Amino acid sequence: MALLPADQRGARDISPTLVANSGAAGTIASGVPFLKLAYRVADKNPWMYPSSSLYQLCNLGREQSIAPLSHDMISSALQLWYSQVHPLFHAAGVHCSTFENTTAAAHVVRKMVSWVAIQPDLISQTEEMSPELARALWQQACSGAPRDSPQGGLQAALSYMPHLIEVWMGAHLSEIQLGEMCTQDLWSDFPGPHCLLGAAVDGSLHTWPTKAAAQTLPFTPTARVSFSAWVSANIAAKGSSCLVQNLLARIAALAHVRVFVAGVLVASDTSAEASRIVDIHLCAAAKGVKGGLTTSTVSWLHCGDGWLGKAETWAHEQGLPAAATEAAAIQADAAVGHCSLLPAGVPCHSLGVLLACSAQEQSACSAWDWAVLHNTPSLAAALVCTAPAPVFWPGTGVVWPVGGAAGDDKPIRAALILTPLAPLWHIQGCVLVPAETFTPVSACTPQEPVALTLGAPHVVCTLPAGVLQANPPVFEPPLPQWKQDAIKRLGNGRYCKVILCFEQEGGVFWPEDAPPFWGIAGCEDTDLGSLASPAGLPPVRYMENYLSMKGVPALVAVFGKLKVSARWSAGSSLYVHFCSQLALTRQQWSPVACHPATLLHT
Amino acid sequence: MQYVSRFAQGAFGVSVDSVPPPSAVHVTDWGRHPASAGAYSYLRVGGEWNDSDMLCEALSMHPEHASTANTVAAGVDWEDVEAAGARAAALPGPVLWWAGEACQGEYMGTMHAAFLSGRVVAERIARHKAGRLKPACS
Repeated sequence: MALLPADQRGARDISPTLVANSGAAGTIASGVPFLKLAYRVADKNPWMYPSSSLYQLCNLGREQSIAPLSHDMISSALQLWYSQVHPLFHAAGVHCSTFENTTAAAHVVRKMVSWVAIQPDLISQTEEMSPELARALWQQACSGAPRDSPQGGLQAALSYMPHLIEVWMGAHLSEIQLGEMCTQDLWSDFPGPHCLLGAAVDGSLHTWPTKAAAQTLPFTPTARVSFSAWVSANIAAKGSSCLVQNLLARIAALAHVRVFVAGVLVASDTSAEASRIVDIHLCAAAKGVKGGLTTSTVSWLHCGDGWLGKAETWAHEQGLPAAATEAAAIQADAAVGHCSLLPAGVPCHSLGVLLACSAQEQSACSAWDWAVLHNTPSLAAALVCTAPAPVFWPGTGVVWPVGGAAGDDKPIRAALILTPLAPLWHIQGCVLVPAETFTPVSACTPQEPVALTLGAPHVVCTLPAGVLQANPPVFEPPLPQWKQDAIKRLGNGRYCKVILCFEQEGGVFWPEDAPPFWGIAGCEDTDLGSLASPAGLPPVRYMENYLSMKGVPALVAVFGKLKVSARWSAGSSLYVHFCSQLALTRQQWSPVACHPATLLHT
Repeated sequence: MQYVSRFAQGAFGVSVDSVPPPSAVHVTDWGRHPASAGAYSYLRVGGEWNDSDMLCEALSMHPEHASTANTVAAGVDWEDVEAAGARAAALPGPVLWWAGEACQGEYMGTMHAAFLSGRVVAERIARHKAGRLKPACS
């Protein structure tokens, strides 16, 4: 694991240059903005309990003999991370010179730093606030460095990041095994609670053979796979600053990537063994779901899009109907799974397969054949299933389990789901009427869809926040004002991902050892910069190297907002834009060009 | 393509010919999709800390959509809430339920938030049906 065992850790300050201690030793000095942050982290951070990460995947199924990690603990740590540490990392990916030296900015800086120190729990995960907070923290990091000096800013960041890690981990840098962190933390999501999963995978794989020998494991594990090969090579070449380097390489990506964990971790190794690890994860998830995992565990098991890519196989193995198996292959969060690259615009329902099965295991809902899924980044998916066959659409026609699934004449018993099935369905409204006055209007064919009125004792609205804001259905009676206000207050983020797939004999054209994320750095000083945004296109926020992440020969550019046609040509301006950004990132963040020593001593 | 060639040479150190056109291109833009109108929700400045709770609060068939949950919505007068609760108590149970990633405060904006919220609402409906649960937001 990434921390030394508790009894081997000393009680001392985290670092001479950061006089805050997160509680492992209890030595506190005042006057540091992160002081209280460190205190808050100390009693909530799962890392404070070095063996806890081992339990994450050991708690599969009904194996509850080991106390699970507290759900509250994970939740609190995640919240802290998102609100405070996360923005700093985000900020460090921003070019130092982009911060304006104005009086107002200075005021904001002071204000935000004081907020961090005084009321950290009031700082929510907000898109508007994070940049401000980030600037403040960044200024702290940059103090003393020339404002307009990229090297100065990077130097500050480089020296600052390990200390932040120390605060987060609650241990001296020498006690944090950075090599392990490189694999388990940085290659999973980020060194917050998410990294528990990486550690847990490692730990579980370590312990599973024993369990298998004792025949207490519900499936057959493969041999333990070491994730250290990649790290060993890098550390040998570059020293422990590899940690910082990778931090920087990933910084720009952190702020906008939330839903992959294990996929990144395991797929960063494209070997066949890594592929088998994915299988293990999926198997574990399947067993866990069917075995009645706790809620918190389920949430972690299902948040990796790498797994969703494998859902098809799993669904097939579970004997799910062909329609479900097909649907399981569809991409999630515009991510490309191992199995398929499906046309853009195809909604994702892969998680629905898992849900539909797990629902059958829910004794509390045994009277209700249900499955509800609102797949955030893509379309909302919602089903009212009357077993045995969950019915998915898209494709050949409207298949909505009105009156039951195919071959099943059971009426809907549970609830209607308001969900945007566009273009097959357009939810026009939701009218609540007394049951005795309800008159259903049925009959709908794929060839001639007609307005359809459905009735049920309950309606579940899973419309995305964006739909509720921009194009809400008519509610009759109208939603109460407080509900409408809450909807209006919500933020609504958007991705635009452009995925370029390459098929080449003998490998891809970019270096196979390229990192999975390529942040976009400033390009003012290079002649490439003039080509970075042709045709007024927005800059790419970051890039993803799916070869490294998922073993798929594809490159992904993530835009904030981009109006783009799904049809590209190799000569189009957008393609040029993509490639220029790609070139920039490669130049900026290649292992050679981004070597911390290079930056520090420039 | 001249740009591509130039960058390929400069940044990758590969020959022009080895930068192929993509075999396939996929574009996702959930913000423009009418059925999603965005990729994920988040709390923004000006939002209430329990907006997600308010979102997930079930509504009854009362003409005023009186809240039947015992969650106190921020910015809502206590007396109003109590009065609404009292009215709701005399009415049939909640009819219009809410789920989705925006309704799950802990992991808002993620896929597993949607997952969890779906489970929660289904369980609530089931328990409500069984008469064992007063609908409430967690």
